Parts: sequence; structure tokens; C-alpha cells
Amino acid sequence: MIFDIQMQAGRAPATLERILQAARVRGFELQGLDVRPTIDGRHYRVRLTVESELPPVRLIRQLEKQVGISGLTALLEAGREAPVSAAASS
Amino acid sequence: MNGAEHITRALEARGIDTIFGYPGGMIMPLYDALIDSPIRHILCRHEQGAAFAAGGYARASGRPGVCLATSGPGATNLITGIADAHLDSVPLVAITGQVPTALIGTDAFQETDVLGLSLPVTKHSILVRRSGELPAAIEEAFRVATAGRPGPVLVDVPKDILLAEVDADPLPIAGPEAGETIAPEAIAAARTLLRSSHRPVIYAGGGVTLAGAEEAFHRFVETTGIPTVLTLKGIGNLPDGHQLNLGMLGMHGSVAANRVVQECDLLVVVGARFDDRVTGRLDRFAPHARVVHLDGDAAQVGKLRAADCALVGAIAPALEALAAPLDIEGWRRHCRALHGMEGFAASAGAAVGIDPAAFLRRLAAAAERRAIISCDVGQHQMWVAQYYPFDHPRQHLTSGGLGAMGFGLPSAIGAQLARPDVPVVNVSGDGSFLMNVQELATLKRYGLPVKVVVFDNQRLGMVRQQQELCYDGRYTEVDLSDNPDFTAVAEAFGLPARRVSEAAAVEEAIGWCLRTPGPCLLHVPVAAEANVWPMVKPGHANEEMIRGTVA
Repeated sequence: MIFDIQMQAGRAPATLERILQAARVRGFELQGLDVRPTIDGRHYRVRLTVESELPPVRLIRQLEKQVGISGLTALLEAGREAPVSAAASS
Repeated sequence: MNGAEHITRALEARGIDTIFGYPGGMIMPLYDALIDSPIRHILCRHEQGAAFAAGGYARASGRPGVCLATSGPGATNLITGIADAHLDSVPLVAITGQVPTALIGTDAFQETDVLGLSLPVTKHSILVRRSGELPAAIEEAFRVATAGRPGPVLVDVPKDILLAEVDADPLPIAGPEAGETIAPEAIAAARTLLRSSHRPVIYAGGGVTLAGAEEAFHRFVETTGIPTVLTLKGIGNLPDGHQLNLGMLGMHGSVAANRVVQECDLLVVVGARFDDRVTGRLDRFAPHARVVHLDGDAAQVGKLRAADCALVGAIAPALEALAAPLDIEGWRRHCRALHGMEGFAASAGAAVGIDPAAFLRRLAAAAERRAIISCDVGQHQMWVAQYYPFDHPRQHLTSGGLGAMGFGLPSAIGAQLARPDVPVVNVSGDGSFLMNVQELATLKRYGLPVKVVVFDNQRLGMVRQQQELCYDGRYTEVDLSDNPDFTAVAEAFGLPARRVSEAAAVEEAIGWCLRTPGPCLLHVPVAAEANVWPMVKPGHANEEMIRGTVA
């Protein structure tokens, strides 16, 4: 299954590396990454597209724990604006 | 005030009284500032020792441990100790010097990307890029290290920032964060599962202590009367000998503990994470059980085994809310009977030499009940878990998640400094002991009364055991029969040392060890063939335990 995760991430050294590392280590293959700074320049807006047979919640919960990550939303399939609920994806 | 002085002030403000480290070029400004600080710096003889010692300090006390190192090799040497803290959720703040900001990225002398290296093994890592960021970085490091599920945080500080003026006082200390309250509907669902269960078992791990929920846990067990099994990190959640404590489960758990889990119809998981060393073959673990999973970390719930009832949030109030008597007397009797018949064997399986199990029981009988035992990793670690009685998890220091040999001695040093009022014993194996043997110099320098017991089978015993049982006895690279004379090694460091090789002399030797002022070493030869029993082979189900025979 391919799905997107959108989030806001603090602009600090290695923020993006941590996100990508969580995806890799937890068994999610990177399909796409879109990163743009917010208007105030203090954050990144990140859209991560990954593919895995594992339930998305496995990655979502790891990302939620990272310092500086907020506003995390998961979309079931890339390009489809339907949020994944934790219950549905576990 | 420069950046280095700011760091010492911030540490002092947080009540940090002892730190561990090793100086070098890029961290020198901080060492200069420490001269004028009341903080006690413990000079370890290797940065890995410093990281483990800081971890031992934190494990024994519950307070954050702090270690320092310089850039490059100093920082890379910390990594194993940081990884150990990460996997066992130990609050640790590692501060590393870095080359000056202008030199970062130039392959400067002793430059490594320690921020990048640390990412997989820390809860968070911070590179301070401007002096103005330093106060917030230190505040964030301690807040993140201690909040929620604790863990290590690395702060990498370039030398020019250590020397630059910082025009700010240490930031205020945030109070502890309360875990999220669990929704009443979820508690009600768990209560329903508990009431309808005929054969419940509690499976509890290190998360109980991380949440400070030891007392609530104790009350929950006693009120419900549910038989309880413990993980390696959960040992001590219930006192040894408690009638509902069925001991450790998993690969080297007792037959009784594993069997009741396989038989139960409800598994109440408290602060545990279905580690592979616990579950064996996951799809055959607790096959008849519904699962109530209570944890402070949402990422652990449902990760490996789906929960019928997920309780994510503050552990103690949830346990209080769920504590109600259950009508399961027959099941309790069955579990107690199994525990009586199928607890750990009376012998660790050595017919010759010193029996490690008997030794540990004698050590426990002679030592203060509140003594702290710091293990290394291997067979002796499992024997301690099986045979040494613990009343509280902070008495039992063990590298559970990372399984890092070399952990025991420096961790004992940290524990002794954190708890100078409590006896500390490092029980090690011959393989592990040599991995951080240099820390005997630290013991001697500070006169710390840590007692070192080295079980010496002249083998990498756990690897030898798996080669015997899983590789048809094809032994390779496990022979350590060229070990040095451990008593001579200890004496070379200035420590009194003895060897005990006769069973009849064990009691007297243990007495000598415990009574000797300051540090000392007791060398305990054990049979090379001694195995840890029972055992579940990796990848097998827990009902497929091998009970073994006395060699």
C-alpha cells in the first residue's frame, strides 16, 4: 500500500534525516518526499510518500514521538485525501 | 559567562551533582568551567565507560545521567552506551564537543558527524549552531530525556560556542509531565475483560518503573490476585517470593512462567513490548489470550500483537482504576502449583566447579537485601535474573535491550556514586569483564566499594551454549582459555582479589568480598559446559522449552 503522511517539522539539523530514518528502519520504502519551508521560515511542511505492507500506524506512531513533529496527518493512498484512522490501519 | 560556564550553571540548576567523562581538545572549555563548579566529574578510562557509568547512575537513581566527551573518537566511543540507554529507556544527556562551526564539514581533525551518528540511538539529538541556541538546547535535552518514556539526548556543541559569550541564565526547569489520562470507556472495556476472564496473567516489564508506577502495580496485583510474570527489565516489580510472582518468562524464563502464559485466556500487559526474547515465536505466544495492553508509549501498543483493549497513557491511575478482586482462586492455585514444580532448577547445570546458581543464592543470603547487582551480558546475566532475589527493579541493572557486554563494571560505578548508601556488586563473565576492564582504574581512583565477581568459564558461554544446541556442537571462536589471571589483573590495578574454586569455600569467600573495605574482585571459575536452563531456541515457541541436564 502506498500512502502519504503530511506533517510540520521544526527546522533544525537532522530533522528530515530522522523522518527518513524512521521510515526506513520501520519497513517503509520511500516513494516521494516534498519539503517546503513555512512562511515564517521556522518549520518545514513535509509530505512523505511511502510504500509498505505494514500498517501505516506503525510509522505514524514513531513519527509522532519525534521532537518537533506536529500536525501529522496520514492519507490512505497517495493523492487521496482520506485520513487514515489509527483503528482502521492497525 | 561563556557557553561552557552556562552549561555547568544549567547542570547545577538541575541538581546534577555527578557527571562522567573524558576530556579532549574540543570539550576543553567545558572542563575548564568545571574547575569552578561544585559538580563532581568522574574521569573514566574510556568514553564508553563514561556513558555506561552515566547510565548506571540513572538506572539506580531514576535521575538523569550526564556524560561528556570530545569530538571525533570521544563522541563515537560514547555511542554504544547511548544506544544501551536508548533501548532500555534510560534518561541520559550526552554532551560532546565539536570542531568550531567554521570547520564543520571540512574533515577537520577529530571531526565526525556525531549528530548523524547518534540519530538511530537517541530519543533526540541537537547540534548547537549559535551561542544563542545553547540555553534552549540544554533545557530541551533534559526535558526530552526525562519526559514520558525516558531516553538519551545528545547535545553537540562546537568549541567556539563553548567559548562564546552567552547572555542568558539557565532556563527554568519544567515540571514532570503527567501521562495522558486514559479514556474512561477504555478503562471500562478493560474492566469487562478482566471480569470475564477465568485464567488471567499479568505480563509486566520495565515500563512500570519508568512510569513510577511500582506501588500502583503492587496494589493492582494484590487486589486482583492475578498471577504475574515479569520480563528481564521487570524483575523486581514484585518482590521475589511474592505468592503471585511466577518469575521471569521468555527464552530463559521458568517453565512455569511460560506455561501459564500459554494457558491464559487474558494477558494483561503492563509496560512491556512483546520483545522477541519474551515471546519466542510470536504467532504461538499466548495463543488463547485476549490482550489488554497498558503502556505510556503508544508506539508499543499493537506493534507486534494486536490489543483487544489498548490503554495508552498514565499507567498508575489506570492500574488504580482497574484494581478490583477477581474470582480466580482455582487458577491461582494452579499457577502456584506449577511455580512450585516448574520454577528455576536448583542447579544451573554444573556438576563440577562452582555452581553459579548456588553461588548467587549464597551471595544473596550474605548481601544486604537492598544491594544493587549490576550484570554484564551472557550466561551470568541470565543466572542472576533467574536466581538472585530482587525486591525492586532499580536493584537490578542489566543491559536488556542492547545486550551490551562491558556494561556491568562502569554501570556499577555509576550506581555506587548515585547510591553511596547501598552495596553494589558487579556480577560479570570473563568475556564481558575484559571489555571494560580499564574501569578498574576508575574504581581504584575513587575508592568506590564496588565488589566485582567474575564468573569465568573460559568461554563466551552464551555463544558456546547456542553453538552446542543450535549448531550441532560446532564450536568456533568461543574459547577464552588464554584469559589472563584475573586476580593478578585486579591486583595490578591496586584492588585486593581472591579466587574461589571449591564449593566449600564459597561462603567464606563471599564474606571476605562483602566485608573488604573499598573495591575488590572475586574470581569464580565455573565449568565450561554449564548452560542456562531452561531455554527456548531462537524462533521457537515458548512451549518448546529445553530443560537441559546437569553436565
